[in-house]
Amino acid sequence: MDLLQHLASGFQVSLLPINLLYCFLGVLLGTLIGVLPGIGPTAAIALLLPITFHVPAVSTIILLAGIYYGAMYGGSTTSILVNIPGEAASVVTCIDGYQMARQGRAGPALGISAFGSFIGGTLALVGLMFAAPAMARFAREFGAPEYTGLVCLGLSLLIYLGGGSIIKSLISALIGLALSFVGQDMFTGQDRFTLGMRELKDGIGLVPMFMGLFGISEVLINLEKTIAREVFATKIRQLLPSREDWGRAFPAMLRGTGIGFLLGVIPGGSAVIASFASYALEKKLSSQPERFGSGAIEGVAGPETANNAAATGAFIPLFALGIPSNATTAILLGALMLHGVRPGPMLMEQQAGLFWGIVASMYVGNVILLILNLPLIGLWVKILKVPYKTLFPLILLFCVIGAYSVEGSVFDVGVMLAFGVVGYVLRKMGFEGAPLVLAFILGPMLENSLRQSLIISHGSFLIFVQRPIAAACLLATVILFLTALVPFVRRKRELLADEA
Amino acid sequence: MRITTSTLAAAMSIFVGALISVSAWSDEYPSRPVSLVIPYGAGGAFDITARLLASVSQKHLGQQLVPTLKPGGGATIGTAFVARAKPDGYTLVYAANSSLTVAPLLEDPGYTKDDFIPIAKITHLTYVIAVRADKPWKTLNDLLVHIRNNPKNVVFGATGIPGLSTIGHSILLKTAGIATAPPMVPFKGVGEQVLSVLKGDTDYMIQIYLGVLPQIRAKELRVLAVLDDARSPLMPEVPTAKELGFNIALNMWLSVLAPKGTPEPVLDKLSVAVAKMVKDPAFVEAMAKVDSPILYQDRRTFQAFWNEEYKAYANLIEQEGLRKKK
Repeated sequence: MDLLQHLASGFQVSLLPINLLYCFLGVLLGTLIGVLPGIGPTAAIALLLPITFHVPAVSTIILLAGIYYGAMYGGSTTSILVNIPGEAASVVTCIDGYQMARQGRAGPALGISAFGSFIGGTLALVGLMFAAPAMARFAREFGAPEYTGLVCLGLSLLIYLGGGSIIKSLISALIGLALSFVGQDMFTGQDRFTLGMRELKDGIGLVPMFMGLFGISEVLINLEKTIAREVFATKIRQLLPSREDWGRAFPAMLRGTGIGFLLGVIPGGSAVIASFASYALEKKLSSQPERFGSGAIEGVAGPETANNAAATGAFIPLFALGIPSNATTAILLGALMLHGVRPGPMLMEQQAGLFWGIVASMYVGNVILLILNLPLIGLWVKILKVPYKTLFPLILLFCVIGAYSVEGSVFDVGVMLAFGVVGYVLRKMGFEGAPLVLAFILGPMLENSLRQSLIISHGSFLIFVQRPIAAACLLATVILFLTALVPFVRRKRELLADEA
Repeated sequence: MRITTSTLAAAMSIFVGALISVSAWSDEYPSRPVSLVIPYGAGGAFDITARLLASVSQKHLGQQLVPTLKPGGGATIGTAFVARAKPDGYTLVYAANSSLTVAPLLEDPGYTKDDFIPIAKITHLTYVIAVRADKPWKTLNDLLVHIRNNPKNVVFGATGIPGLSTIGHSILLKTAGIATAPPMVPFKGVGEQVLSVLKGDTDYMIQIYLGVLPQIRAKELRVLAVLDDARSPLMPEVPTAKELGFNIALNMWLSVLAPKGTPEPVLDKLSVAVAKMVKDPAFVEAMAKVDSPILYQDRRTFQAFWNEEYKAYANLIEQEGLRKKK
């Protein structure tokens, strides 16, 4: 009852015409930013911050939050259409989304990611309303040893990412790990593998790297083909997902929401990891895992739902603890302070009006996003009809702009082009990009949390057994590896039996 | 196609050039917007306070200050960029002692202290030393006694190694006569650092007060001392380390600086304008909202202060052998 009253008052705030306008502007901008590769919500929110100085706090946060979750909607578009992830959380969508587009099913892929984003966003909001204090306590449980366990579990997902040989997946993961070591050692401040370049002090940029690995290499691969790409040959059959698509995608969306929400709440456990985890889970649960990698709709629905749920979940530590869980929520925290709102453990009680106004606006925003994105599908699909000789330079242009705009650095453009070549060579040799990206993201997290844990425990590895969450994650990792090994061992034995 | 584009570009540049030269005739410096390079990422204290300053710049400078983010390399990329920029007053940097004092002392970041001329100090962010509210240490002395007696059972949570906060930590232990430093756990950001103290994985932390304000206000963290010359207006009940007998002042100053070689009249014009900006009621009010006091120093006072600070840190880094080996 209390909750309903709060929510009703929240809707009263968020449905004011002025706030509706801010909400619409926010999600519209977010969608555009999500669609453009490279330009992320963090930079956009920072740029808009000064404009909001004279706008009330609620309206400001409605606008800025709209950009943030709106970007999660748009991110999948270029992944599906041209194999270029709009932002890091859409890397995994490339795997099956792009295959769907090649089969002339770009419409259903885009449609299912729009619906998935809506479902993930709104269901996670329900979680935010009911469980914020409980989830905040859960987030607090996560210290260095828990992260170590979680990251180990995350790395075991590699088994499910590779389409073909598990050895090749492992090799690309190792390349990703090696690349992740570039940059300053957090523990000593010493530079590692930077070749004396200041630009590499903070490590290799994630966005330029994956734009090169996926986007540029895709262009290079297609250059080899003299005939028109098969995308244009295949007739685009339908724009919206069919009943069969829904049957496959809906359970994936529900699971994606759960995973995304949980990982979004943990500071540092980001939308990126949530999308990878959801993909792996769907592949593991599927009765036909071989469909993954060649256009399985669950492989689009799950991750796209998960990254939206994670974006919503990330508001919990912000509102309930006053602790931002990623760069974007850090700016939102700054924006709150700028408007005299003091985030912290008491915000939800002391500023109930503000909190519920924002929550209600996020429901409104998700509805606007769905209405906004569905008609756009027709437009996006038409892009695929553009002849490749015209599309190809445009893709390159957008990639260059995108890589440059992340930090305004020409160096990043060079990084992207270099990784374009690396990606091309890897694909020619049958290696895949997704395990590389996952290992690249998780590598530093594993190294840092392991070293932190061992300092905290004064060198004792027992800390990973004594802490229940860490122990559970590590146990799950071991079980996963064992179950993955069983078929492998069985096959060997059968081979031996055959020979005998 | 190419010819038309380049012709168009040429035409455009003539047009724009004409506009610029017209305004250059009509007025001297500043005749166009001034770029204020922020060597940090979006949304932090640097970004926010710089944008607040820029929002009142038109009125007092006659031109807009344009905040330009150039993050990376521990703030050295944007700072080095300004050191190499044309010293005409149109490229300034908004930087801190972490990149201007500490970085050149620890390694070669591509610039030295002398590559910059101060225009004004805007504010400084005070460091505080904090513990979880339910820990038994009520005063800084309690904590230091505990560290001295149990150096193996205390853990220090830090960010940005090596940097201002870890240097400050070394000074503190040294002044207290503690020979064995407790183990130090570095964290990527303030959020993780705060959570580790709240969870009890680490026992105490040194951080800019802005990073811990939400937890202080919620009485989850207790500040044992303010590491500054004066008490903070935001927590007037907390003593400074100096009052407690530890001669240590640690703060991150945020200043506007120009590259070496900028003409004297331009520097004058800028410092007069900035002096007015920091008194603008709109700026004062906005800075109060983000809990950042205005601690303005004009360029001469600030240069003298900076020279002293630089010397002190140089000595300390020398003594501790912190400079990175090539």
